[in-house]
Formats: sequence, structure tokens, C-alpha cells
Amino acid sequence: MSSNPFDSDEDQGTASGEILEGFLCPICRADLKSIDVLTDHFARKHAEEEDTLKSVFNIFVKAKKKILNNFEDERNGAAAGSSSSSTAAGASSSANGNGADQRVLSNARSRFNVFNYMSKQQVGAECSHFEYFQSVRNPRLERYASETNKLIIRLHRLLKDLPTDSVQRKQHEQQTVAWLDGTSVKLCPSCAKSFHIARRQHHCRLCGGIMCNDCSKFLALENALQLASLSTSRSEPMQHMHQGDSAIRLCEHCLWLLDTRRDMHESRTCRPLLVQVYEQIRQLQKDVTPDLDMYLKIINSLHEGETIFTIADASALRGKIGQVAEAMDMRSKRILAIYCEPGSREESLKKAIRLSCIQAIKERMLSLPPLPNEAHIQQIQERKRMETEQRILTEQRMAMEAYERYGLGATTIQSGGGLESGTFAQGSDLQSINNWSAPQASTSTSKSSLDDPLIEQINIIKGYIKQARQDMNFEVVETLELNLRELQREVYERQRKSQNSAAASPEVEQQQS
Amino acid sequence: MATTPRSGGAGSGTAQRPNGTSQNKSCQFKLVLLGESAVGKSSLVLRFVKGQFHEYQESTIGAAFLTQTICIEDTVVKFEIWDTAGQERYHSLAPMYYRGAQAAIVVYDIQNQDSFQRAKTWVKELHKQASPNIVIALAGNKADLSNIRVVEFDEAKQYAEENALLFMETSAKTGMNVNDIFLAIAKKLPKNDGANNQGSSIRPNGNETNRPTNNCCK
Repeated sequence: MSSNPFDSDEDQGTASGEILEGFLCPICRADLKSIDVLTDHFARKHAEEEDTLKSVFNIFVKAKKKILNNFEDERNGAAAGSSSSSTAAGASSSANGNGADQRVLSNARSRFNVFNYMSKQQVGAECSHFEYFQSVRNPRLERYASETNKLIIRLHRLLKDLPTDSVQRKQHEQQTVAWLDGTSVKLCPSCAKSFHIARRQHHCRLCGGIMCNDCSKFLALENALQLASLSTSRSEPMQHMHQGDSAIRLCEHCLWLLDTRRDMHESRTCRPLLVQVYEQIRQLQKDVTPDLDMYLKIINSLHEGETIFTIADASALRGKIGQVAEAMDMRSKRILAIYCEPGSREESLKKAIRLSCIQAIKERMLSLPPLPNEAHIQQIQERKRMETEQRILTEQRMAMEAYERYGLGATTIQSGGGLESGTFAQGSDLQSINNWSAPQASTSTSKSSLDDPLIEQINIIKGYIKQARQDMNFEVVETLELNLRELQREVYERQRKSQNSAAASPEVEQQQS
Repeated sequence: MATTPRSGGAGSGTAQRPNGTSQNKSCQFKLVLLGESAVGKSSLVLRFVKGQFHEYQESTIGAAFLTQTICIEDTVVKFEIWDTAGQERYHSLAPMYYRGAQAAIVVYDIQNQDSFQRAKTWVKELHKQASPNIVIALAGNKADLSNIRVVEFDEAKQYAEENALLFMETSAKTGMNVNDIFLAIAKKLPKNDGANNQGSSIRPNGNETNRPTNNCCK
């Protein structure tokens, strides 16, 4: 560079030469002696500066107000003597001679102001580290899994035909797993004690590693067999012949791997009593739900005056629901009786289970409407029957009137048709009338025509209904009953037609001619 | 060498001004130094402003304020330098100082990996909280000790490039790159709005009128 670019401004000469240091306000450059005083000062005096920068005058007014406020507040604070820091700060600033505006209130106040000044921070950039986590975790898991599998395979081979004789056994062990050469190993790798006559080298039977007797771990042969059979679907039965020195010498690491594997296996397969009982409760609850709905449906249908279900059905179902409630109650009590540490999370879990059971029983089962009174139901049914009869009568009468108006022509046929249309149009309401009239019809016809397939079918369905009632399968009962009604109506219609046809046919012929 | 800074004599400035009174542009920039404690922020500033170096520089309390004026071409650039204290307990003060700053030098020590990490977090904080168009320079200080360095030049260079920072390795002790880094900042700073600030009514936050209010935290 040809010219010296550094040049101190003569106007600012004194300022640039001087180095200010301390708790400087970045705007008025006053030294405020402590962090709290500075932050408070900055928050109070310069917070709104950005908004009012355009008007210097405005700032002045504001600052003046602030200062006055400060003065007031500060004097109040000092009078109350509430905060030691305020007085200390006040003393320091007055010593500085900077005036009252730099005084502060208590620490808490100033901190509050700092937070006020700093606007809320936004949530910064975020990213998922799950993939990284997996990429770290998977290789680790794989490593342990493969290591453990290797050990299990070796253990399996080791146990396959383990000789009872100790010399042969050693040979077999060395054949299965190559032992490390111990000539250069002077210290035990795990406890760092030197080997000598009294502390001899030993080998891990699974990895061949060297350790001293103190660092060796032993795996009982029975446990070893169990572990080996875990992986080989118990291909060989327990060998009970090795009763002698029935343990396998292992290093700590191999034993740990095997132990971990066993623990994992147990935790995966074992289901504590609590879980079992709780699952039973859940199953009961699940099973009883359709029964509850069904019961409500039956009660409703009874109150409607329908005759698909009987009161006996309702009471049987109610009894069944009561039994389930009892079973749930008993099981939840049993869960509560399982021992656990008082005050533990397990205890609170058990209490919660019990509570939810009680609640479920109360809400779903005890709140069921009571069985209707038999006399009452009969009354309803009677009234309903009367109503329908009445309606049929009026319909018939109206039909008759209509025929009279159209002329006396095909009266009989039409009246039959009128009745027929009324029967179908009324739908479910008329099922009840069929119900009490159809059996008579069917009994009368069954005597006359036993070979009628419809009658046969009716009888079969009746049998089914009986069975379904016994099994308390009320949904099936419902559909079967409806089927039965239809069949009965069909029979009834046919019967009446055959009765009518004899009388009607000449009239039809008459009309045609 | 021409770039050797003078020891800040007050009177001698006028004689060496290259263009005399003909220069018509002057601007003023607020510059803040950030970084972990004991990386050499104060030494860097002292070298730049006064050309001095103290082997046993005391640690800064609160913050230090210095000014230095340099000339680039026909512009007089006045730096108002806020040298913050690096100690953790003063961290809460830093936003006050970098608020409204047009330039920042984030300093780390090339012998100290932690200070480099800290510098990265400072850069992150500046990007988040400071003025959006702030010019940030990364200074790897104590370059005279590069034989026992821990932070590699290329590593820091790459980081600086990724984050669009000016980057130099400096040494306050030898003066290496000290002036250059300030010069580089001055060149990178926009000068046009500096003309408005000319005159007696220059305010430290003068340039803030140009940027939307309150956007540092929002």
C-alpha cells in the first residue's frame, strides 16, 4: 500500500486516544459500574430509541420523563429500604457523579426490564436427528447381536457332545474354540496382576481369552444348555450326565453378553400376573359391550310393545351382564392384592386399574334400566293390539265405503286386496297382529298340510330361535324372529287367498264376460 | 511498511492525510469484537488503534470503547470499536453492544479448539439477532504461534466461506493482518449511506434508520 490509510480525526483526537473501559452504555457511553445497572439503564433509556430516532426532541422528552419517573421510583424504593442492591447501586452512581438517572431499582426489577426489552425469540432452525441416531444405533446393535450369536453357536458346539473325562473335555473345548497363546501374556488383562505359579492363566471357553482365576466367571451347565437351546429350538434334550464340574469358565464380557441375551428373552416372553389379569379384564369388557347394547335394544323393544323378545330374554341377559361385572370386580380386586412397593408407580397403576374398573361397572352396567314389569308390558302390548285392530277395522270400513261408491262390482276381491295392502303398508306395526294371529293360522294349517315346505321352514326356524335364546345370542333371535314373521305372513296370505279364490273366481269370470 | 499503524498521536494525523481537505465522504461504523475470553480481542484492537501490544493484557471488564479512523480511497471511515469482554458472566451484555453494529469481528485462538467452537456460536447468534446486513469477520488470532496450532487454517477458511464471513489469521503480537482485516471490513461496508451521516449529528445508531425497526429479534 502506497499511502498510510490510518488517520486519526483531529476532531475526535482526544476520544480516539482515550480508551474507555467498563460497563459502558453503548449509546451514551457512560460507565455504569455493574452489569445490572447497565442493563437497567439501557432498557429504560434506550429501549424505544429505535422507534423515535427521527425526532431527537421526542427522545429528549421521553428521557426526561423517564428520569423523573426513575427519581420517583428510586426515592420510593429507598424510603422503603426494600432492596440492599438498590441502595448500593445508588451510592456507587452518586459517587460517580453521573446524577440520578443512572440509579437503579432492585435487581428483580431490572431483570424484568431486560426481558421486557428483549422481544420474544423465535424457535430457531430445527432438524431431526433420528436418522443419525439410527445410524449410530444399528451398527452397535448388529455388533452385539452378531457377537452374541457367535457365542451361542460356540456354546452349542461346545455342549454338543461334551466328554465327561476332564482331559478329553479340555481337548474338546480347545478344538471348538482356539485358545489364545498365553506365553507372551504376563499380566491378567482385566485386573493387571502378574501371572505366576499361584495365579495361573485361564481361558474363556467361548472367546479363548486369557484371564486369572479371580477374573473368571462361571456359567452353570444347566444354564448353558438352556441358553444354547434358546437358539436351536431345543433340538437336543437336557444332558444330565455332566454332574461333575458342571460349569463353564467364561470371561466377564462373554458372560455379560449371554446374560443380556437371557434378560432380553425373558423380558420379551414373561408376562407378569398383573398384565395377565388386566388382559382378562379387558377381554371381559370387550365381550360385554355388545351384550349391553343388546339389552338396551331388548328393553326398548319391550317398551314399544313389540313381541320379538320376551321379558325372560331380558332378565337372562341382565343376569349374564351382572356376572361379567362381578368377574371384573373380582379381577380388579385381585390386581390390587398383588404385592408391590408402597408409593411406587406400580401401586398407582394398580389403583388406576381398579378405579377404571369400578367406574366402567358403574357407568355401563349398573346404570342399565331395570327389567320392565310384566303386567305393564302386557298392558302395552294389549293396547297396541287394540290400536292395530282398530286401525284395521277403520281401514276395512273405509275400503267398504270406497267399494260402495265405485259400485258393488268386485267387492269381495277388492276388500281382500284392501286388507292385503293395509297389511303390507303398516310394516313393523302389523307384525304384532300377525304374531298373535299367525300361530293360529299356522297351527290350523300345519294340521291340514304337514308337507307344506313353508310350514316345515317355520318349524325349523322356531327350533333355531329356541337354541339361540338358550345361547343368549339375541341378535340371531331377532333376525330369526323377523324371518319367522315373514314366513307366517306368507302362509297366512296363501291360506286366505285359497279361501277367497273359490268365492272370487266366479265373480272374476263374470266381470270378464 | 506503509501499513504500519502509528502509535495514536493526537496531533500528527493531519499531516499524513493523503488527500488533505479534498475528501468529501466520511462515514462512521459501529464495529463490535466478540469471542471467548483470552483470545486476544483487546490486543487486536489495541494493535489496530494504538499500534501497541502488551504481553500481559488485563482482561476486559464490561466492554471497552475505542475509535480509529482510516482512509480508503476518498472516504474517511471512522470505526467505533466496541471491544466486549469475553468472560461468560458478561455474555448477557453482548447483545447490547452488537445491536445496531454494522460490523463484527469474531475472534478465536488458533491454539484453542473451544474458542473456535465458541466463535461459531457467536456467528450463529449474530446471524440470528444482529442487523441482517452486518459484516462479520472471523479472526484466528495468535497466528505467530502457528507451530502449535490446533485449529487448522483450511478448516476455519472453509467454515468462513460457508457462512460468508471475511476470514484472516491475525497476530496482535506481530501485527500480522491486523490492519488488513479492518481494511477488508471497511471495504466491504456500504459507503453510500455514510454520506448522510456526515457532519456533527453523527449518531452511533445513525444507520439504523435504514433498516426496518426491531427486526433483530423477530
